[in-house]
Amino acid sequence: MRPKQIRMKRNLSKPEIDPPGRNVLEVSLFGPGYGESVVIHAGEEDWLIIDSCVLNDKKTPAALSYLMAIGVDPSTAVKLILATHWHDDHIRGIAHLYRACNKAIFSCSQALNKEDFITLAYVALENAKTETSGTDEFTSVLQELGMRGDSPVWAIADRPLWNREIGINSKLWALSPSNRIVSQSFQSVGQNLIPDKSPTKRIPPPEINHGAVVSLLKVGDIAVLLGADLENTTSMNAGWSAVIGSHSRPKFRAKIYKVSHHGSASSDSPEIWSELLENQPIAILTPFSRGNSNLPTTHDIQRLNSHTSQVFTTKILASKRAITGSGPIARTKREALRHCHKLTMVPGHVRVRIDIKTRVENIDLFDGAKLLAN
Amino acid sequence: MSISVQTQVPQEEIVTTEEHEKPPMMLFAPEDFEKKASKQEGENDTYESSLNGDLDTVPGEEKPRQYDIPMILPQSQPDPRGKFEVLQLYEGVVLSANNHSMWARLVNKTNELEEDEEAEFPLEEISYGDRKLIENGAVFYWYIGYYDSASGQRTRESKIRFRRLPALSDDVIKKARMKAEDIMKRFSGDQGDAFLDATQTDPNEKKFVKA
Amino acid sequence: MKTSPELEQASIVFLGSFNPAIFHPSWFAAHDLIPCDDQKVPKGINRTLVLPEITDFSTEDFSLQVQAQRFALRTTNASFYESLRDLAYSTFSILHHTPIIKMGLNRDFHFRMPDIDAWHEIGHRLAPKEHWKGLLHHPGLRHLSMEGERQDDYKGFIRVIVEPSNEIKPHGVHIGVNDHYEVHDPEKNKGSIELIEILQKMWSKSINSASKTAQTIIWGEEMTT
Repeated sequence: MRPKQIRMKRNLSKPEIDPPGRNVLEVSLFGPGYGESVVIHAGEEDWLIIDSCVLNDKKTPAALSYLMAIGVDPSTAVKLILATHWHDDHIRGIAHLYRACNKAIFSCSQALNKEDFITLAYVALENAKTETSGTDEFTSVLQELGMRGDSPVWAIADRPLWNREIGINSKLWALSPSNRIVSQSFQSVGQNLIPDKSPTKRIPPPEINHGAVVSLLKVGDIAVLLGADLENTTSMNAGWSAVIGSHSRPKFRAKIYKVSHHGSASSDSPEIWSELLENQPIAILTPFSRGNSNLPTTHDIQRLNSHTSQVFTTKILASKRAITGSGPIARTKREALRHCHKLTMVPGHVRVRIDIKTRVENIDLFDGAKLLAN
Repeated sequence: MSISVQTQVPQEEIVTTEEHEKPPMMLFAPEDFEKKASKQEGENDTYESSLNGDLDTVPGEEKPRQYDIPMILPQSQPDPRGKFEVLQLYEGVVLSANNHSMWARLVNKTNELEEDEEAEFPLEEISYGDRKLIENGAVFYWYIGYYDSASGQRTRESKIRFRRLPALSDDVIKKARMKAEDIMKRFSGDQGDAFLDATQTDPNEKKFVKA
Repeated sequence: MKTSPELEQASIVFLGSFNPAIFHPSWFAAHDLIPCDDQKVPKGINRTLVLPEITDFSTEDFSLQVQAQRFALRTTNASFYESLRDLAYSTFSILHHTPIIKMGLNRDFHFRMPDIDAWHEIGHRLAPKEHWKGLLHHPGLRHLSMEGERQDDYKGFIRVIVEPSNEIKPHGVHIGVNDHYEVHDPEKNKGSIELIEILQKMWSKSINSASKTAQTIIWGEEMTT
């Protein structure tokens, strides 16, 4: 039984100022805060960042704030930024992050490597005319890539994205999207590109959860499965079926699992746990709340706990409360609305650290993060 | 708002963008309309026959029309002349909608430090004319405040107005395509199946390794 | 007691070259820029005047007047301020070949002062009378116009006027703020895009800034609610 310590830090606004040692794998999950962000120390002071969310100032990427708080210089230490899919809620602040990380390569789904999608992004940017639009994140990244004279590293199933052979051997692979999904995404984007007859809306990016990038990181002999928002489909050539069925994927089982799509049933399958993960892995997730949809549900928690007792969430979202207050604004909102709730902007933080050599594990829970149990 | 009648003669003719100093509007006097409508026999209908190129000259007339009787019209007032005092303004984006209600994310524009909210609006709260504008991604403004009518009656009001922006022009799509083509040219032929090797020591040198 | 203005107006004025006859309410309805029925018949239009030389119509939310060189949209309804911007922006996105060389983002405020002393205090503060004694008998401020440079990269100026109000009597004060922009090169300017993009970016800032200016002039400091 490996030594483990779970420490719950209550009411801490800042984590301990202690960067991980060179031999320590760290996986830090932040969210919700308009999405989620995974910050990984892959050993030897190399950092990788998956997706982005912002703090309650609505501007500062949580990843950036954390790295600077623990004394890590993002401009040199971050080697890769991966955008798993271009959903509004997963990329807030990613352009800011990329600009701050001068040495980082940028990676995103091969499904976006199409002129029609890039055109759609610029059209959406022109159409947006609102501060709440997220389409400018993508175009801002494209602009920064242009200024650096860089191209993204396009992620497609079983392609390595990053590698280090000096010191602790580390490598990151994309496990999705599949070739089939990449082809289909191109077609669906093309069909969307019709001058909008109803011009008041933002044009959202095409629904490409199926094009999301699941990745597998191996640091020494410890693996981390990063589930993004990949969901299941009926096709064997898409979703988790394609990942599990791939003959060319690396066959390591992961010790740590960033749970796909907030633990929803549509993104889970028994084969993930039996084929891709170790026994009793450490599972970490961010919750989600939109309208009447809250994830993970009670059933989701039960299902996750049937696979592992170590399920951690970055936040327990408060149930939707009645609008309080006696002033005219509150009265009007009570009269006009059926429901209303605030969106928490202070991301919770689950931090997992494992010493590659000694296997000592430390799990720290910050800003409302909790162990999820039945 | 009334027109302020100036008794001073301005030093120069200044056409301003100020609204409160709008110039009095000069219109044709009714007599001029009658002259314009009437024609003599053999008269050329076109203006090209005017000898001095003065467009104000009606063919057949010897001298330009005179605007002898300027009419000053008061400007149309938006009605009614009450006052809406804004207590709270949200910018909303529709997340989802059905036949009964819509869910929207609300950004507090009155106090931008406040957290965003998500809310469910019954469709009855939306003006009939705006309901066709409801769809995922649609943007609206939600004002909460007091309306004081011209007679002094005060009511508390909630007004939801959807943004009405023009349809995308071919020009916008064309420019977006050109940008995309430019970007694709930069991206294409860069990597193929290779990936970036982290073992390289010079970060400025992109060394790709075959997968 | 400090109060908010009793009357307010926001307006967008373009100077350029226009064909007034285009701006019939039906044109706006056809482009879904104003509420209309399923047959695209505009709703809620008050008296309409559409001639080759001038168009003038109003709804409960705004009024529009267009002449050959001037396009002016106005509203006294604060809940229409954002929509006013959209209406102006959308109109000249569609008619983007219309040459517009100047733009004014304007606010007008009419305050009622609590008493005659407070009313006079404004005039005393803005135009001290010591310089006029001996020149005029009982001098009083009739109209003040101040112009300042822009502090951004745009071409133009900001002009503020202060005068007794014609709308609020007695003890009314009118403050007008003209946030004026011009195209950088009128010779090369071919349409409306330069100025409507400024409108999109600057409208909210402009109307809020004008409110603060007016409050500071009237009360000597910004009023916080």
